[in-house]
Amino acid sequence: MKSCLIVDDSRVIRKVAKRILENLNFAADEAGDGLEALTRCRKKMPDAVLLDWNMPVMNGIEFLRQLRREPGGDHPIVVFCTTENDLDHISEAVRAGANEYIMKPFDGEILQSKFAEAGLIA
Amino acid sequence: MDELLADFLSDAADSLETIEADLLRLESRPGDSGVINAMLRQMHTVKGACGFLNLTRLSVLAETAEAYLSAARGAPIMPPGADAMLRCVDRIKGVIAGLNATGLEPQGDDSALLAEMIAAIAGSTRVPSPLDVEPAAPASIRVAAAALDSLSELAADLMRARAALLHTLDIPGGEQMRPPLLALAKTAGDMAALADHLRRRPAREAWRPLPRLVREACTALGKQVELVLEGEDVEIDSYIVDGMKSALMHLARNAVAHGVERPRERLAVGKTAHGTLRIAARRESNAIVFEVADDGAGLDPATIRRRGIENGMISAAQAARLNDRETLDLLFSPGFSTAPHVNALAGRGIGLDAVRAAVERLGARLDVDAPAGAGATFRIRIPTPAPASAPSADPVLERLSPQLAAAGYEIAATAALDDAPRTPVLKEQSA
Repeated sequence: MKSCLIVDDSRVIRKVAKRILENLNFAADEAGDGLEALTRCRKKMPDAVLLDWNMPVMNGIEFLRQLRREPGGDHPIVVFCTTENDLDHISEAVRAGANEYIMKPFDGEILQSKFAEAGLIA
Repeated sequence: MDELLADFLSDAADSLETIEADLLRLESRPGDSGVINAMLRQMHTVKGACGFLNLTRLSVLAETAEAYLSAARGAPIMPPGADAMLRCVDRIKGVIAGLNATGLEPQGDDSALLAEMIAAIAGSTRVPSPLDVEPAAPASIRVAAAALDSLSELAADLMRARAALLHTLDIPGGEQMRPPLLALAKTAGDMAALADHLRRRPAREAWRPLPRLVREACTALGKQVELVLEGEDVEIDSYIVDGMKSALMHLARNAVAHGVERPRERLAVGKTAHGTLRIAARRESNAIVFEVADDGAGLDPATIRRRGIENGMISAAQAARLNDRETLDLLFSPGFSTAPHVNALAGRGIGLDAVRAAVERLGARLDVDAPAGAGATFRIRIPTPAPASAPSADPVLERLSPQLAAAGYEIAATAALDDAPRTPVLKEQSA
């Protein structure tokens, strides 16, 4: 079973994403900001990270840059979540090491197809 | 009620309370980016969750509030419409109250309020504050090296002070010192990192004289050399720049004088008439590496052994025992010269022995690679501290905030110093 870390400061969005991911047969774990996510990744690298942009303490892009410098930090496929107002963030995220991006709000179908594109599910 | 909706309503109520308090703070500190950014994030989170829950009325209100806050960021006074913003917050709270009561978004017409806010956003001419402006071009000033040294020492003093202050946590009531201590600890770390960053200069400063030097050497010697420079933005410690400059000048001069052949000789062996001299700087995991590589005739170990014997540096028996690498090392011995003719540019005065000695004084190492017939590459390796990927434990931060320490706190300033080599911060320095 593949693992996915959901990083979002909204508990609601984390829950929605968790339900979707568990339906897709992922072991889903949650973090409320970049720092917490980094701590979790240092304990165990997930196969995938669903990453929000705008978070307190450490935002998504800082987390991503740090993650990619960690030992084994190149392993997780990172799917970056953004909204239509943050389109300029996408290229920055990709430069920082994001594999895919997804627009919020997303549903099960959208997430499934993004994860398939990223090679996380068949 | 749906569990998700219940979570949302409780989170959103908290967010709105914070936003409301921040709005009032903003009246006395218009344009404060820190306060506005915090509000923006909260509002953004509310709006993001609305999207997932299909709360369309709330989503539009939150999005408009977000747009207003974006416009207010950096404005010297609160833009007109501040009370429309407050009313918008009230409206959002009203919708949340309705959701709490019935589980459904209450009906209502927000168009007048939204129009008022949009007009305020459009009318607010945004005057950027200094905090808000990103430096467009790298403006720079000259600073005495001694001043930078002092800055580093002051930062180190601060790092010691924060360790010394830790015991205040154990005094009765000392727990309330935790937040200011944590702020001090982080700021001191950032400052140490910044001092560290300021002491570095780009590699191009070390090779600034080279284009002209190579051109003049070519003219004097009847050679054609294309100079290729790579990695000009790699940062090196200031104190090393001048030492590198003279070492690179010497190696470049040697390469033109002894490495690259004359055009006729090159054409005869099937090379292009002009040679290439590549000078490159790069950062490796634990070193900065400079390379001076030419595509000339290379260094012939047999010739070097013979020259070593002629110069009385080694005996014929010793020469026979040297492998090629050891033979190349002879080049760095005092008084060695392979050039058949001493000329004005190289081959007299300081030799490679002096270059190696100078490089070693900087704590670096000079080596050469010369595969037969394929030119020569001189390599200077300057060791640097281990990279930031494994930050060492910071007992002070560990004590103040285990969560922050566990994640290997790295400078907040890294965002601004983005391309600077990462230094593990807050890791020292109780010693």
